[in-house]
Amino acid sequence: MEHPDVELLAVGALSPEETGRVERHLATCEVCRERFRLSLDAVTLLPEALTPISPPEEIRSRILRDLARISWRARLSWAGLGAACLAILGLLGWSTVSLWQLRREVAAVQESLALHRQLIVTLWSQSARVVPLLPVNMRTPQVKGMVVVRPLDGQTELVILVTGLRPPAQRAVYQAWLQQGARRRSVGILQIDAAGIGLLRYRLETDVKAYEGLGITFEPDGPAPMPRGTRILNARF
Amino acid sequence: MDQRNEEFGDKASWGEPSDEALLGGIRRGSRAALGLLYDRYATTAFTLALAILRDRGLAEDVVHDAFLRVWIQAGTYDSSRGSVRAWLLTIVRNRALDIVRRSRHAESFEVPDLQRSLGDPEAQVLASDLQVRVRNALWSLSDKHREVLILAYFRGLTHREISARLEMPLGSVKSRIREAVRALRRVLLED
Repeated sequence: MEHPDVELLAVGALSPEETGRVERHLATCEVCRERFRLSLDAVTLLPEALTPISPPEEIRSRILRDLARISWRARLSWAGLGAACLAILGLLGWSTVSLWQLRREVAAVQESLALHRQLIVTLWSQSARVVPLLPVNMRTPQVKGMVVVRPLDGQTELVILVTGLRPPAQRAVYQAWLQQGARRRSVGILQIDAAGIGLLRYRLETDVKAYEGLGITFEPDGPAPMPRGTRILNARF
Repeated sequence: MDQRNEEFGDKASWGEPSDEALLGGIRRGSRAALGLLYDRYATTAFTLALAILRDRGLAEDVVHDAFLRVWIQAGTYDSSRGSVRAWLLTIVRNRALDIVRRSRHAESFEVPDLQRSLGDPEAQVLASDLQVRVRNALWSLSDKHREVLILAYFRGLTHREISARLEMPLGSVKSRIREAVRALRRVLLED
C-alpha cells in the first residue's frame, strides 16, 4: 500500500518520529521509494527559482585547502571502516596497502614540515605579532598555544600553534574560529601530530583588527559551520 | 574520451562527467572531482543557503561545510533515494535550517519576502531555461499551495507548525503539501 506521507518527507515537513515511520516503510516498499526519489528530485529544483547568487571565490579554495586536513580515517568511518578495509585488502593486497599508507604518511610529513618551515619564517618576520592562546578550562592547563599575526601581500597571515592536545578520534576535529561580535568565522581545522602539536595557517583578506579574537573548539562530529563543541582555547586581539 | 570523463570513469557520456561520475571520483579521493562538483552547484547551494539564512557569512560557512561533508560522506550516497544534486542540496538545506533553529536566525524573514525572491514570472528575460521552468511550475500552483510548500522547504516548518501558523486544519495542510509536490513532480520531471 502506498504511504500517504512520502511527499511530506521529501519536502521535510515531518517530525522526527513521523520521518522514522515513513523511512521504515520506504525500506520495504519499492513503489514508494521511487515516488520519494522523484519527489525529492522535484523539490530540490525549487532553489533554481531563486535569483542565483554566486559565493565568493575564496570559498572554493578554502574547501580544497581544508580537504587536506580531513583524515582518511574520518572518510572511511562514514563508508564503514571495516567493510572498506576488507575491500581494499581483498582488491589490492597487503603490499599495495602498505605502499599507499607510506605515501600518505610521507605526504603528511611533507605538509607538516612545510607548515613548520612557514612558522619559523613567520616568527622571524619583523612585523609579526604573537598573541597567546589561553586555556578556557583550568582543568586542562597543559593545552596552550599562540597565534602569530603578520601582514603579508596586503593581507594578514595567521599561524596558529597549539601544544598539549590529544589527537582527536574518529570524526572529531579541533576547529579554529575568528570572533566578530556574535558571529563566528571558521578558519579551518588544526592538523594535530602524534605529539599533540596542532598547526594551522590562514590567510585573512582584511586586517585582523576587524575581529576581536580567535577561539579553538573541539568538534566531536567533524567540521562545523558554527561552533557546536566545547571551547578549549581563546586569544584576544 | 574526454580526459575528465576518463579520470572519473564516466563512460556513458562524451560531454561533461555526470554527477555520479564525479561522486565516484570523490569517493576515490579526487579533489579535482570535488572541485568540478563545486563549480557545478556552488551557486545553487549558496543561493539556497542565503534564502534560508539571509546572512552571507553564514551562507558561506554552510556551503563550505556542505562540500566538506560531501567529501567525508560520499560513500553514504544512495542513488535510489535521489540524485547527487538532491543529496547535496538536502545537506545544504539541513545545515542552514540547523543554524536557523539554533539561533532563531531569520525569524523575521517572512514568506512574502521569499515569494518575491522566487521571481516574478513576468520578468524572466535574463533567467535560464531551468529557472523559467521551475518558476513557471511554482507559480502555476495556487497561492495556498505555494505558501505551504515555501514554509516547509525554505523555512523548515513541519506540517503541524504550518497548521498552527496558518490556523488551518492539519489534514488540509498535509493535502496541500502532497498536492503541491505531486504537481511539481508532474510539471518538472514527467511532462
